[in-house]
Amino acid sequence: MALVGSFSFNSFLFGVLSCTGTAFLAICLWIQVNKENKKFKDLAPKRAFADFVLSNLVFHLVIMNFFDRCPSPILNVVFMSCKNVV
Amino acid sequence: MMAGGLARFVVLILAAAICGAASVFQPISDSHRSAALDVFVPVDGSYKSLEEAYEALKTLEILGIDKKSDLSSATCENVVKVLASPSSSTLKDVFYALSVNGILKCKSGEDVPKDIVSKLQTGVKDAKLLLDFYYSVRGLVLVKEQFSGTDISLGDAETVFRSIKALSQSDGRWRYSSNNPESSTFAAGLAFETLAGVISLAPSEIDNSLIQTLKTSITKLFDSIQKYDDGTFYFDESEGPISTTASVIRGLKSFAASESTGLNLPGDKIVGLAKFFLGVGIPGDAKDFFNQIDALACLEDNRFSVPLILSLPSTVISLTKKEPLKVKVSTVFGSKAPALSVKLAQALSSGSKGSSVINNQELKFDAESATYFLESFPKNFDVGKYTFVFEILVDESANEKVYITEAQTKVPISATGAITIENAEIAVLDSDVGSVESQKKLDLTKDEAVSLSANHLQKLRLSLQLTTPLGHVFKPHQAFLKLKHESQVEHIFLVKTSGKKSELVLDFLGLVEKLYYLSGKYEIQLTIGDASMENSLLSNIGHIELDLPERPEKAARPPLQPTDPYSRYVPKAEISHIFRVPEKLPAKQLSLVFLGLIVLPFIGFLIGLTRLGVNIKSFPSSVGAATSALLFHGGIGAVLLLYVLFWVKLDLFTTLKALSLLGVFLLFVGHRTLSHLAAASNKLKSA
Repeated sequence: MALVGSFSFNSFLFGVLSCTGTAFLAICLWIQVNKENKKFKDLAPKRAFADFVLSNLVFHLVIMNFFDRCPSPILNVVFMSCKNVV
Repeated sequence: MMAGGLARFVVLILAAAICGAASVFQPISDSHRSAALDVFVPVDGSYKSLEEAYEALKTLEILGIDKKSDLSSATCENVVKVLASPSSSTLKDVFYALSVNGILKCKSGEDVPKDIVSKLQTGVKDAKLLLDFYYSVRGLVLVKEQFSGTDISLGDAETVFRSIKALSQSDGRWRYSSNNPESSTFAAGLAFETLAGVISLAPSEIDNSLIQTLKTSITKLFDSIQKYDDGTFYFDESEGPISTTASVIRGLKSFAASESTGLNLPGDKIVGLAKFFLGVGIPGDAKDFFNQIDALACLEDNRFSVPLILSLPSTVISLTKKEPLKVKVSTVFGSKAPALSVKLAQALSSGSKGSSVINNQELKFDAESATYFLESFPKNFDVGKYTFVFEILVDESANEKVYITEAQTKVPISATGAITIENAEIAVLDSDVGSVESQKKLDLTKDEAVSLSANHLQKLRLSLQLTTPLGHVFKPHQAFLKLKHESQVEHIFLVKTSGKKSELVLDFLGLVEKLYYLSGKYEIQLTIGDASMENSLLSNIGHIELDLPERPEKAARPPLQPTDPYSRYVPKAEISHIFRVPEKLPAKQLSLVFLGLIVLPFIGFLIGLTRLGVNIKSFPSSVGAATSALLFHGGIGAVLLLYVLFWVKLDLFTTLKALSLLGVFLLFVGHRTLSHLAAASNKLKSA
């Protein structure tokens, strides 16, 4: 922040949140699919994967909505890259 | 000839009143004549085409302007050239050359131009289009008129009549050709003229049933006539209302002149058509001018009915000058009307609804000026706005023509007079008690020098009585009192009329803020004006010294008065808008460094994936399941692409619409893929 200033703080914030959220969803999938976890042994892994896909799609729709529309294509690649596709 | 027409001297007053707005129509006058000289200006002594030359010459001939000597040489050259070698000219050129020849008489006499006649007769025989029929038949009629000693007739007139009649439609309009289904009212006018020409050139009488069907067609055409609120009638088409209506009137005149039994046209519509052309005013376009004058000339001199127009030289009556009301009744060109009587049926005042001040007053006729006048008005005729309703009765006498007028002509009249101003006084009152501190009587006929003084606790009262010549209370349209400070700041107040007098009370206590707390000398000026008032006034009454309290800090300052009173109309200062300052962007290199830092983990992820090895063992091999799996992955890719498009340019609503469609698709294929995988793993477990 000190280096860059508060230019397009929206995009930065939601970029960070996007990474965090995606990691969180991946962890949830891992928990549900892991055979050693007794709690979820009744849940089919396919079902867990389908939930993962759906929640990712909804989550990223919301994230994309909050990114500022590109004033300059070059600069916004920075914020686009915050979003990791797992 | 037309025995019925000659003997006719019927009085035609129609019961159908033309209701609507009152308006005044003036016949063609010298202003039209002088305008014609400006509109029809030849270039280097001649016109661009014979058609334009004909239109200009015909208009000038009708208006009685002699320009033939100026134009004859160059135009006649063109005419003689065309008539000398008709084989190398079109039918249209030959027709217009003959038309111009009829006016300028470039070539006349007994020698019948045989080649012209043969060209036109061939034109009639070979004609398929309405315009070809028109030019050839009308051309033959012109040759017959201009060259004596000719015996031109159409051998098979009935066949020609039927061929032209075949182009007619059931709604009264005509088509230009049998191939083209488009019909027009303008073409109907051309057709009437052509058929009239056929009837006049026919060696024997045309079958009466054909003529009756044509009359029915004319009646049908009149059903499509259009109307304005002021009682004018017109025909409208793509060629424009003036051209279309003129074409129809020309056709009707030719037809009525040529056939033996009378043509009955609704009289109110004929008057309405005349009013339409008079209401056009002076057209600036040469074609419109020609059409207007030609149509009015046809209405002035025809065999069905000649419209008469009622006009007034002045619609303002001055009660002080005691001038009589003058009315003129004439034809559309201002020519003398036959003997008739004019009656002022009603004079409706705009104020009192429905009641008439004058009833059934006959107007006297002055033969010298050919006007009808009302010498004196009744005693209860006051100032104000009126609508006069006139009725015209054509006297029964041996008129060759049938004259037609409106049932009732409504004309707006304004009566003016001197308004008496009485008991004008200005006073300063004490606010609380209402007692008069100082009072001065005013004589508003001259500028006064009244001197008053007041403070902010007092009131200023101006009162006066305005009465009409008959003693009724008069409410002027404008009554203002202006207070002008020494620093040129002005304030205007309305003087209201209620009951018997007009009064204005200025309570300075409530006005201190409006007066910007400016104490000092104020000039007082009174303005009273109205259209009916002959003695409107603007008088300086005097001045008043106002003592107002000090201006508090937050009060509005008086606006700066410009030195030049017209400077309020100059352009205002330009407004410079302040936009939001764009945020400071970081340095480009810094952004690129961060870009690199972010892309690195992604590359690391891809390397990690390849190290781990992508496990696609569970990818289904059967065709159906493989297709569903591929579609599933494709669907997810499509959704991600949609998100990219959403970020780049789409809006949320479009995205959601597309997403809902893709989502349903994904749900379907995803369920199939995953259920296949689940079934496969169950099989493995059980095995």
